[in-house]
Amino acid sequence: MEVWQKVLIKKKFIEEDVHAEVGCIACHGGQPDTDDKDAAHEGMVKKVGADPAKTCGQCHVDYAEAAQTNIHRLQTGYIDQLHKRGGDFTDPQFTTAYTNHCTSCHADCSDCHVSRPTALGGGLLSGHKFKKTASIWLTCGGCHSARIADDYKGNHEGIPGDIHWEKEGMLCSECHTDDAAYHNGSHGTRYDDDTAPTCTQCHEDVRPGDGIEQHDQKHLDELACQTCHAAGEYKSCYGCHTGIDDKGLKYFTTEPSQMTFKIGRNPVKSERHPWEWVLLRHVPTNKDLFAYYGEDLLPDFDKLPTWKFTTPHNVRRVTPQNKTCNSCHGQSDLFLTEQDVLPDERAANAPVIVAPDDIPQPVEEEGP
Amino acid sequence: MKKTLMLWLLLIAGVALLSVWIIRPPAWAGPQNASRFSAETAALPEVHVDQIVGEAPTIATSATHLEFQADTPSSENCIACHTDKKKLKKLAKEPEEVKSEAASGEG
Repeated sequence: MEVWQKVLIKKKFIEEDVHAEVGCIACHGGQPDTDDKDAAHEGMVKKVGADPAKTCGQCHVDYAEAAQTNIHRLQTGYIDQLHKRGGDFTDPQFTTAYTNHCTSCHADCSDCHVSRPTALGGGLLSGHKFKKTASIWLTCGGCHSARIADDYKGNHEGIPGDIHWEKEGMLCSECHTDDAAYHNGSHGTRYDDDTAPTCTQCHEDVRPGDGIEQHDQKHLDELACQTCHAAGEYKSCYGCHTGIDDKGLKYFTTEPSQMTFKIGRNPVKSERHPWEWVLLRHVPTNKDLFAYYGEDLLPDFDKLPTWKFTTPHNVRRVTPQNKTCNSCHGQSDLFLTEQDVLPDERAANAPVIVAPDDIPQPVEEEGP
Repeated sequence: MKKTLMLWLLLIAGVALLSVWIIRPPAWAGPQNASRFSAETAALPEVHVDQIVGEAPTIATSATHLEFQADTPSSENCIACHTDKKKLKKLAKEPEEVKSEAASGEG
């Protein structure tokens, strides 16, 4: 997108959209009485959605109130996980590290409904049109790219896309509906959200005796759906380190990502996630994540696994691991064992690592 | 007489209920569980929410102290320029991206 296209406002927006009726300056400020570029932009606020209560919230009262604390704006997931690893949000060293390196993923109202993510170069989505449903590939997929959108569309070589996209063309918002935590106030990670979608909301006929042999009580009770129905490997990330260079510029480094598929013990067991076996993904965190800013800023690092519960968006009915019983049973490579985990992360991952003896043994299968 | 009155009252109540069900909620009627979640976030562990959000670079560079006002100066100059492709092609410039040479890897 050319830079001029990023700031081009469509006449149709001015003429037809109710949001244009108040004029530009009501929301953005700036100087009205000049046509000099620099002078006109003096005092202008580019991202008015940053303060929803004073802009969007003038009409959309409840949305704006909820936006003050929703997961996209506040990044409650990051806060929750760093806090559990011992991060002290009252410690200036820790808070500086967090604000320098973790908050660029923050998104407010206009980041989804008006603009494109900074990660994609920014700019208006469609001539300042306010899109009620965010443009999923540019906004949802613009941020949740390698770990969601690429899975969903089948962009990873050799791994098919999600059947909900390929066959039904379903958009993000068809499962992640308006009342979920991405819109509302929230707490904790996305997996703490009681309004998040579940497979059985649509597939309510999945039960023992539904005609699918593997859908017996034991498998349905003990395995998350994706364990059998994720179509293949998904991305794991490693080794994020942060710092400030000698020019005063913030930076981070990461090690190369890997495509992995690992079944492990469930680290987030709850009424909502009751299974014993789930898929796990390595997240880029490590003990030295904020070492530049101070010593031991994550003193309880080992309290959370670095291989985390995940729900890959590459779901298919038939997958390599569910073709036959022994496509999974006895396949030790599919399971997260100690040798898959870096030595200094084994303590953190002890609750999710699968002991060799616990890997389901091969079963005698009936012939064709 | 009483029976007719009762029927009328029932009919009015029915129409009122049907209206509430059919009529689309206005813009201010947002997510139903907003207040529930707001209460829950009040319990975020020792996290200085305002500080964190307030210091977020994305916000700090564009923080707004504007009070929305319906009666604001004319936006004619803004519109004249931002709807003019030729003018924008001439004037729009990408902000200089300052990226550390130490940065590496995906993310």
